[in-house]
Amino acid sequence: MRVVNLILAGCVVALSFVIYGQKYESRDMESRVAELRRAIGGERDAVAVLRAEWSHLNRPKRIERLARKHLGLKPLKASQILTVRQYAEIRQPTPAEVAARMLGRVDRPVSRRQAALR
Amino acid sequence: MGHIRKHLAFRRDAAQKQRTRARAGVMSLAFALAFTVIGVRLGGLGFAPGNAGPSTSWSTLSSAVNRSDIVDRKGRILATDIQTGSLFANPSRVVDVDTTAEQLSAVLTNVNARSLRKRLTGGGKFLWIARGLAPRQQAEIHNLGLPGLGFVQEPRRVYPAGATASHVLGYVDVDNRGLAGMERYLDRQPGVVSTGAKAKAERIPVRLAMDLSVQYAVREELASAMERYKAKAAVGIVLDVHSGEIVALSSLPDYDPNRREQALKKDRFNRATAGVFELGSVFKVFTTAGALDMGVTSLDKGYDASKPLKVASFTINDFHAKRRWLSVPEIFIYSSNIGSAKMALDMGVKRHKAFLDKLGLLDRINTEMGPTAAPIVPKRWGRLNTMTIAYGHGLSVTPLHLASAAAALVNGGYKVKPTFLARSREDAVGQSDRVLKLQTSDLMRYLLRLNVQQGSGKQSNTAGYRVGGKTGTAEKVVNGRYSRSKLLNTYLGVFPMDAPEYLVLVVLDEPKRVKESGAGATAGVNSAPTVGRIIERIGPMLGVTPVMDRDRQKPGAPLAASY
Repeated sequence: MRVVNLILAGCVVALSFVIYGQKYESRDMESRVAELRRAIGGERDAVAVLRAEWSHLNRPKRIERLARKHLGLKPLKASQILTVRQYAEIRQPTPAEVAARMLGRVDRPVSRRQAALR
Repeated sequence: MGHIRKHLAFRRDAAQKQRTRARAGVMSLAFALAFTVIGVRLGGLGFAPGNAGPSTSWSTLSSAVNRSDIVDRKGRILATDIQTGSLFANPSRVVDVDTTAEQLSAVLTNVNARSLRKRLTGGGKFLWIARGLAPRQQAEIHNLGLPGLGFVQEPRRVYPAGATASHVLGYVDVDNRGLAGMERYLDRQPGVVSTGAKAKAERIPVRLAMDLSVQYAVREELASAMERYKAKAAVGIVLDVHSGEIVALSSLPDYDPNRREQALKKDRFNRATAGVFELGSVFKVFTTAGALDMGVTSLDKGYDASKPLKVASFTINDFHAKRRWLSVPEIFIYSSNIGSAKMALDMGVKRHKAFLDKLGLLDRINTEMGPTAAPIVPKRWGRLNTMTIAYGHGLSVTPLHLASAAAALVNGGYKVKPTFLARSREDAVGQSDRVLKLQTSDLMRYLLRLNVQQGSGKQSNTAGYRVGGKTGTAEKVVNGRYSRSKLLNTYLGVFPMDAPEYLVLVVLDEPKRVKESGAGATAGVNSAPTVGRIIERIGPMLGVTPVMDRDRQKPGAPLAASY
């Protein structure tokens, strides 16, 4: 009987240590969770601001202005839309023609020697 | 005697001992149980999550609510909440009132130093100084290092696209509560609007039927039409004729919902749903459709429009008078008042009224934004009323009424309920009743297209998109009489006419005669070309395939040459 009691008392002491440790650990984790939650909240707010800003920068009015100014684009006309079949009916220039046209536009580099001979 | 007593005493003793032992057993069991319960509970409490973090008392100061985002049909943000700082003061802890008031008014331009000083000296423990401050302003005030001031984080509604979708979105008050438009609708939905810090969790955005690009194009074209024709106001609606979705709705002049004070100006109301108008000849689409649907007339029949129609002291005349017998298609494309009035009389007063009622033209329309304005219907609807309503006078409806009723004429005969929320065409057809025969709808498609090819709608034609439509030039009532110079011009356009998908309605209020419109200021020369321009821009956005007449215009030619 006494032996059993002693063992049980030992268990109680051991368990209380374990529980004490666990409790402190969990308290640490809790504060970390709270911290992370706050951080997530902050990030979420920041994301909301960025998304609002992104939408503001992508508003059609601004995009239209920029596209007209920098890309020379205009609203699409119906005549610019082709179906695949219509496209196929149009004779396409051969690669050689394309190359010729492109070369015709590019200014040929003038070498230093040629420039000196002029 | 003695030993008997002794024996009895012994027996009593034994029994008592036994009872005591049993009692002790029960007691120890009870104790063991109680301790186990306490132990388990203690252990549980030790691991239970406690009050995480510091208390959130500051956020409870804020009376602002958090709202769901509003996005367009493609998910682009139309309205969203951002967290902003609101500045408050605790006057009992403000040390130097003069300096505080002066320095704050230097940073915050809309705060008056004198009135702030007065409020700060008034005592108390809490007063708002400014709400919804930008992060930069917050930092500046923070750097002033003034005692007795503090910030509360509050949600604030922002509308990234500005005024583009204003009348549909509406706006919110200083506490972020919806006051108008879809914002007011949000407040009446459970779980969409809520207070407190918890509410910040991810919420499902509310998806509208609106397409932001289309809305923008419509608003831009309306604005330039208003300028070009010097109109006082303009309304534009784009409706999906099958789903009833309002893809775009604009009423100019409008406001920037980010600056709600603009919305309170008198002329900024939503004319598309809150204004009722006599819309004029565009109503002939309903007269013709009704007469065709009831079989009282057909396209090969006609009416005598050779002389004005006299009813009592009233004379009905034609604007583009032909002074001859007109066939039904001619009545439609020459917009003959005489012919339409006779057609309506053929239907009969009762049936004419019932037909308009069936199309929903005589009652308010309930939309998500709340009911529209009520149509003004004559109290006693007699023969004369039917005759004038046949060509659009004597019955006032909102532009949204016209658009939603007209959708039934071209979509195969279904009365679809207009909606601001995204909805599939299948859902809409399931909820809609048939109000017209399919055949009537086909005939109306033919007539509307014919009017663009040969009649008053010519200027709405846009290469490739097979536009159909009907004009309406209504004289406005000024001082109880119809005015010759103040017009309300409507154009109801539909495209593509071989299989209608979208309806475009434009109403211009008092457009003037200008050089571009040539002679006159009728709807055919201002509202119709505006619809044409809108369709040209929104056709590609809505994925309507243009069909080009390749003999006249070679679409490939300019492309191939533009290396």
